[in-house]
Amino acid sequence: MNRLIIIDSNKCTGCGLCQMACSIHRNGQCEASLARILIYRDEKAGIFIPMTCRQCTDPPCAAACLMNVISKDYETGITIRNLEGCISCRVCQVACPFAASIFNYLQERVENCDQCGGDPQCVKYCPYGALKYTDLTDNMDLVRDAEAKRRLLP
Amino acid sequence: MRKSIGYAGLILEVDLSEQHLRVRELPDDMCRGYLGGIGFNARIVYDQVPAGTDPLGPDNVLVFGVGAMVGSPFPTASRTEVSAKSPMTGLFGTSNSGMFFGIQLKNAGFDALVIKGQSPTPVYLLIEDGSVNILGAAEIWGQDSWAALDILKNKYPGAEAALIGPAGENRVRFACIENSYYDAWARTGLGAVMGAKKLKAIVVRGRQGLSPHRTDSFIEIAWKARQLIESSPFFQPFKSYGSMNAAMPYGSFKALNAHNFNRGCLPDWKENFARNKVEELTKGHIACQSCIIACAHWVEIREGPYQGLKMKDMEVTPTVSFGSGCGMSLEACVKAAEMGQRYGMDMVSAASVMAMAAEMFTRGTITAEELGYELNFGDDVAMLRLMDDIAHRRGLGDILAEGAKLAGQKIAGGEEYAMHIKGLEMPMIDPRGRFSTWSLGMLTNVRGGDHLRCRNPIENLRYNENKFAYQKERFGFDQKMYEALDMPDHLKKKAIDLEADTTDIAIMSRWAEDLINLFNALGVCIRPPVEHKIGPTILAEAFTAWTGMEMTAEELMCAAERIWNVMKLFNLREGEKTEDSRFPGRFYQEDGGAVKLDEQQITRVLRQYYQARGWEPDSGRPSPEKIKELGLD
Amino acid sequence: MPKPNADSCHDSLVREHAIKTIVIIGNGAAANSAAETIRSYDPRIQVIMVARENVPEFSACALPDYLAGWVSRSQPFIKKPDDYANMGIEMHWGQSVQRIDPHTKTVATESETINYDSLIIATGSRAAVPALNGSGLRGNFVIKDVADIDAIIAHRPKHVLIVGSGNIGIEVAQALQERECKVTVIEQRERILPRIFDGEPAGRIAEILTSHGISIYTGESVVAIEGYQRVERAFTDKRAILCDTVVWAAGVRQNTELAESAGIELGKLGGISVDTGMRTNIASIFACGDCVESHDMLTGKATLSLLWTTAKDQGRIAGANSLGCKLVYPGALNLVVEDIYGQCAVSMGVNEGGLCNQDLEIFEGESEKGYWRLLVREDRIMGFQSLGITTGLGAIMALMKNRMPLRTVAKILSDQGMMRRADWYLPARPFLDRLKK
Ligand SMILES: Cc1cc2nc3c(=O)[nH]c(=O)nc-3n(C[C@H](O)[C@H](O)[C@H](O)COP(=O)(O)OP(=O)(O)OC[C@H]3O[C@@H](n4cnc5c(N)ncnc54)[C@H](O)[C@@H]3O)c2cc1C
Ligand code: SF4
Repeated sequence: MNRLIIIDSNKCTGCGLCQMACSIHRNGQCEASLARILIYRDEKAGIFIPMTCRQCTDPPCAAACLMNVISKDYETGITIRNLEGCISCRVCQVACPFAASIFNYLQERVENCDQCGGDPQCVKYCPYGALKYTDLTDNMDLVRDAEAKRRLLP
Repeated sequence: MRKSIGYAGLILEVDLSEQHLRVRELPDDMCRGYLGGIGFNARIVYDQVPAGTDPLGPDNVLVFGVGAMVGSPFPTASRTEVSAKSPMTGLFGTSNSGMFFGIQLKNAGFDALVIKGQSPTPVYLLIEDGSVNILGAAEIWGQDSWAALDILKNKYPGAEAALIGPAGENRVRFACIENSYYDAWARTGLGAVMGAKKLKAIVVRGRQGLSPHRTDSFIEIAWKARQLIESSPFFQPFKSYGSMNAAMPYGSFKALNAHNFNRGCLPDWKENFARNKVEELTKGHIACQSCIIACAHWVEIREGPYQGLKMKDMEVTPTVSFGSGCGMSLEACVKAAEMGQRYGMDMVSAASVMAMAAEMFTRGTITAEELGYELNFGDDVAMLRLMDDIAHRRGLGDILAEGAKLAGQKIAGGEEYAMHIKGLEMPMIDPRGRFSTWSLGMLTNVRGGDHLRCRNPIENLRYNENKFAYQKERFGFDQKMYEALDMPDHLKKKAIDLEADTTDIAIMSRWAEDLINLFNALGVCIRPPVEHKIGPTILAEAFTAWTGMEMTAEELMCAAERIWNVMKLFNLREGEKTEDSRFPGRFYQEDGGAVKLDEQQITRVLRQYYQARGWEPDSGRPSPEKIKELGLD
Repeated sequence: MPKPNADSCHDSLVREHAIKTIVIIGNGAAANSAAETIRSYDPRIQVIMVARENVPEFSACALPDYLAGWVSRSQPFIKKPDDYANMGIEMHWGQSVQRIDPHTKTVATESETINYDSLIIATGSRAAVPALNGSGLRGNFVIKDVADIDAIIAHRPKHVLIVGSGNIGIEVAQALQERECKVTVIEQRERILPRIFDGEPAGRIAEILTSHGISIYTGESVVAIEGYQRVERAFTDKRAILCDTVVWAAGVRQNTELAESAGIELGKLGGISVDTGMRTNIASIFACGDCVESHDMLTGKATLSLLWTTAKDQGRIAGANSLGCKLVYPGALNLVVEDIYGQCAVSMGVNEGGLCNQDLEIFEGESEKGYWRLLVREDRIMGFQSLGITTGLGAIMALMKNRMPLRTVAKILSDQGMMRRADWYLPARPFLDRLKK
């Protein structure tokens, strides 16, 4: 069953709680730069855009990885990493269009969101519902909507 | 040894005269006795600013204290207190602001930043992950704060900055320190202190995250706190409407500062500042670090003379100060807020001084020749022009830039129009329309005429029945609310009389001041839903889990009280007198659309407050026993 | 970019029952990628890999890290010996393919002959060592596999001369410096990393390297190596250098001899010539990886990409097409990330040298974090190089891959509504802001 974290940036207030939640739950440390979700901030436009792993079907990070440690879990649809093999060359970071490969300097590894094994803390903490954790099969409309929003009209 | 549990563990001292840096370890007893934020500031300012120091001289000390719980996911833990001797009041000057400066400073390794001396040339400070540099500010000195920020943020991506605008550089006495683009440590003239030190900006960027002492229980407590806040009846209205909530009830109580406190409310107030009008201009919420409320709004003006203006705004205090105090339109209030931010001026004080000037103009105390233009209430263009003159100290603006108190003394016949307490201009609420814990708090406030250091956690804005009893305000909630209030039982019984449905103003003032002090020490926001639901019990749990220092609720409140007393002692050392705790004369002589204040009654309730504090009731000084009890002897 | 579509491939598979056995020559990135792709598409088909070496797949990219001692000896290996069997792949270890016979559809090693229905050649490349005086002496090394690193470590190098300053040369230089060697790098061209970076960034990188004690001489070539039984000194056309070790990192040679002898055509650049489906000129024979000559995604010109990511990508296409799919290779898009003493140096797309075009517009910028340059031609990003920057690059990469006209980007950046919809480009804004005008 594929589930996805869907982002509605219109609702984001920039509070950073998703990052706090991620880093404290996954690293025991409160630090935005360790979170596997980041917020693109444009204060002067009043825009806050959370970005996290979109769990691409054909992930560019996996294609780029020099150690072949990134792969898809076909059951959950999640992009997974065998972190032991990672040499933190950061190629995957550069390859990800969503800036969602995060360098964890504590472990010297590059990580991406793994949806906390089905209970994503960022979604739980988001106070304005900018992040939603939805079932793809149940919410095709939502997904399509979000995708449509992302797609460019030339 | 560096602690990275809860606290960053270090205090940074910068001497700008000597270009000298010193890093001190944060002593444990400082943490236990003063917690953080305002607590550190109080202690440091008390210890390091010699009596009688010139606030704009090199001996004044400017302290940035980050709240103890900032850097954690505890809801609203984002706030940093800045303090120094105030150039407005000559007393303890202090102000609190949120956003991301605090977390960055803490993540850069410091719980507090102490700035001394005076640089011969303009400089800025760059603090990054434990490295500190004093750099020349030629490029940004003279720039308005937004332009300077553009340069700094471009140069140091991801950094946060505290900085001053032209007002601070020109030592406008009520200049503020801007916190990034849209926020500020505004009150008590700290920007002038920074300007006098020739310090344009403090840029911070940090990546060393903090860890809770006990992660699992901290996560649990923080989540509980969040649920508590969300369960407050004030939560939803505040979340959707922000602080503008208070604008309407205060208008209907005739308890606003309309036209420099000449009338309780403007005639078309409801139409011009109504919810739907505000909603028309706003879209989207903006939060500080870790905040679940996001009370601020993004404002876009789509038509009229201020078309194209886009910024974060619609905070009640400045909006009403300009709107009601100077009679400006809602759109012009946004423009004024923009100017306030670019120039780096406290908008409450600026609005008050502008309203004072308009009244003096109306009454002929000053003339159009002196001003260079006519200045009537409600004249947006003239008001904004005056604001510009003040920031740049042009013409009469130069005198007004000294603040209401000094300007009143300098302009013949001006004194009676200066609406200040202890030298600090009063905010937009008028005690004649509604006398509450909030009003008493303006008199007892260590920083002067200001409403933010004392607020009844269960204030009931629906009622204004017993407005002139002075002793009590209406409680107006049910038993459940009473029971849920986190306050020791013996105190609660004294403070709230359920049968009579009243709250005792003196006792509640003392409690509220200490509670807010605790919030400001821990870095938690005092917005009503938080203040209502978060009390010392859960804060003690959170503090203990976060820092690993066992502290009970009583100990936390005792620390908060200690902090308040230290600030009061500072004020007394600087010569604060009992009679300074007085509203401007107008409040006792004119009814201002409501009813005149009774000075004797107020003196009585002040005495009750002093007693509640354990101070000497006549002089309002902390008694020797109290000083001993708090370990301040 | 077209994505592999397993379903449509299976459809065509039904029609290509003839394919029962696929043979892959090689055990590198391209070969393994092909094998895995075939397996993921079809669990039953017979896959036979023939490789010269006796070790499972490893990533050459981790060899410098192992040489430096940052990672263990086992880290470069990305497969375990029994992974092949577990995947149902028949691995013929330690066998060198001697001959390909397209008529009988067989390949022959020293000891056996294997039939194939489809053949994938992924023979890769080897380090080029010129036939100079002394290049056969003890103390001359190349870096291609784990054994090479073992040999260098066993040699206990003290003074090392590295010939060539491509990414391998630069990584090895840092690794050996970490081993407390005195390191000298000789580059024939006028700057280091000539294939990857332009002059300005290359100069900055060289500066960092020299400031850490690595000597770099550009515009010189090694003409001879001397020593009694082992390397003792080297001569360039300008100077003599005392050294006990020479590492040859001066380019690679495609392993094409085998293919050539079977009548497979080579391209102008010397690699096996393939079409966009990774097919050679001979039916049922595919080729991928370092040994082929493909085209550049951005310029469309023939190129030898010689990168890990390219090898994987081509392997995927070759694998799928060997089953009868019709996948199209979009071309090679270079992406090189180098760690230069803690600073991230990135080059993507083509560099100035690869573009040699007057219409080229260059935008440069510098923030306190680092330096970047953007190469633009015909309103599209053709290349990007940076030093010290790690954020926002993925978005640039995406813009480059999508061949997004910058006019469109500028339009988006000036409109808030559009900006929100195209939010993933926003991290790249610092590099694009200047284009707005
Ligand atoms: C030290 C080093 C560092 C590198 N760093 C990077 C980097 O950072 N980033 C990057 O993108 N790329 C890097 N590369 C390049 C990258 O490793 C290669 O592009 C990639 O390995 C090519 O894979 P391949 O499968 O095409 O060829 P190879 O890896 O060369 O594999 C060829 C295979 O074919 C076998 N073979 C050859 N001939 C025969 C035969 N006749 N019979 C049987 N088997 C045969 C060989 O034994 C071998 O298994 C680096 C290379 C080296 C050497
Ligand atoms: S950093 Fe790790 S995961 Fe990313 S490409 Fe390099 S080896 Fe793969």
